[in-house]
Amino acid sequence: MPSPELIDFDRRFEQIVRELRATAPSAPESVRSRVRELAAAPLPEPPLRRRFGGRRVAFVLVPVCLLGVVAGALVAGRGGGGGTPSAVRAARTVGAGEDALRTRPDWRTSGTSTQQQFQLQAADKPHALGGVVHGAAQGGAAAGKKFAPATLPPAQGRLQHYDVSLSLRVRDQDALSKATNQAMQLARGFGGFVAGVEYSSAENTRGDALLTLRVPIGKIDQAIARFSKLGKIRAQHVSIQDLQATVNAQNQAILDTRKSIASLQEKLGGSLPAARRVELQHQLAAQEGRLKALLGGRGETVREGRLATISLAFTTAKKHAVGAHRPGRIGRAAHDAWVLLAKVGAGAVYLLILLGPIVAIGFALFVIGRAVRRRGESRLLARA
Amino acid sequence: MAEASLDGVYRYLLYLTRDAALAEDLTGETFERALRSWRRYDPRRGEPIGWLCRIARSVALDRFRADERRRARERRYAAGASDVSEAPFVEGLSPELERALGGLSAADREVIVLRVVLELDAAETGRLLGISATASTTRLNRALQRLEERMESNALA
Repeated sequence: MPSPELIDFDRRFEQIVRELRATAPSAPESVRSRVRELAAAPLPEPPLRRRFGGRRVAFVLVPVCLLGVVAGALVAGRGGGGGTPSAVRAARTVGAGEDALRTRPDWRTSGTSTQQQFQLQAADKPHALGGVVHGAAQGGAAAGKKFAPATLPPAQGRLQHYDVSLSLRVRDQDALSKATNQAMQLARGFGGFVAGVEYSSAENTRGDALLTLRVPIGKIDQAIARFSKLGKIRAQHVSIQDLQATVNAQNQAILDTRKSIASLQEKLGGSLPAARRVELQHQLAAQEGRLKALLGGRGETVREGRLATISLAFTTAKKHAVGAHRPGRIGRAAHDAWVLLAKVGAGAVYLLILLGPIVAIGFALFVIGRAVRRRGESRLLARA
Repeated sequence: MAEASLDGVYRYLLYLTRDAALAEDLTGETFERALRSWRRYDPRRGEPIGWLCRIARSVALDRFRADERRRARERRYAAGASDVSEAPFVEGLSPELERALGGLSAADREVIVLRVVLELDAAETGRLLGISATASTTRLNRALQRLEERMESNALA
């Protein structure tokens, strides 16, 4: 059935059309036989990409990719937010305690060559009393296990800077108050003093208390043992820095200065010109000032070596407040999966922004190329 | 499919080239190429004759380009020589129509053979020529108009 336009030009150019159709040539026998031969030959196997059409591949690949992204997100969600809720809570509590301790200016004082650092994490080394761990290992397992305090006795006969940080968890706000008071009384009972206290608590939030205590170094073992009973240890950090070399150097400097003073006094006892006497008196005054500073410095070092610094960070478990806002495992997995999907989406948008102009330029080049090719073909046909 | 479309492809190439021998060659080449890529043919996108004519067009254009390059090389040795035979390229056509067709461009003959001889519709012709259906109809009307004018001017001469 011819189209309407065909009928139109059929009428308009009836004679030409009729003649053209009547004389339509047929292919010669030679061409016909050649084509038959070609058709009889075995057909070549199509390449793989043709056997699987783009649409079919898309139908398979798109759901598979989406499934993969969702599965990956769920796995990542389980992995990232995984673990038992108690372990997670424990980890957060430890983190809070650690953070609180890190805010202290004297937290992990920088060591010298003779410094020893002992940091024990409840999650990593529940029973590693003598374990040496450098760095801040974090973890959330072993929440319910008892974590014993480290007992690192100070060296006898040597002055040492002994710094202990304990992160302890207490049951509730009442226990926090009680433990804080007990810690202060214990410090005084050991012959030490309370250098600083920060106590904060409010309804439905986690309470915490930070105490800086100074305790005679000879009683440090007993003190740690007593303090560690005030709550459940979540993290511990012990830092021992040898001060003996410093004191020895200070003693030597004091001795030298004293000798110098004695020598100057001896010289001043004799007969001297006035100018020389004034000069020696100036030197004597300077040496006496130096001696005073050295004695003060040594006294400071000795005091530092006699008193250990104990930093206690008490934190409440805040069960109710945490439980009220803490989603379950499925909730956390779903949340983490959602976060991952959002990141994937952001990545896709980023790629779109990045590749958009390239794709647009490529498309424009394709369109221009096609137009140029068609114009070339038209010219070629016009000339032929 | 090949047998059924053979005449159509041959007619198309004959009108396009005005050379029976060349049309035969190109027809064979067209079917060779078509059979190599026969799996690309999608029946939903049109009749087999349309797909085959697209291949035939590509084959013919390749040949025209090659001929142009060859002519450009030979021009300095045989200036003015014409490749197209003066013998009638379609048996049975009146001399007026034959001459008038010979005076048209390949583009005009192409649209005439597609729409009139092969009776393809405007949409199929447009797809083949890379233009819209309306443009293909316009091009056909103009080509037929020119053909008619040439026939009249030839008759007057």
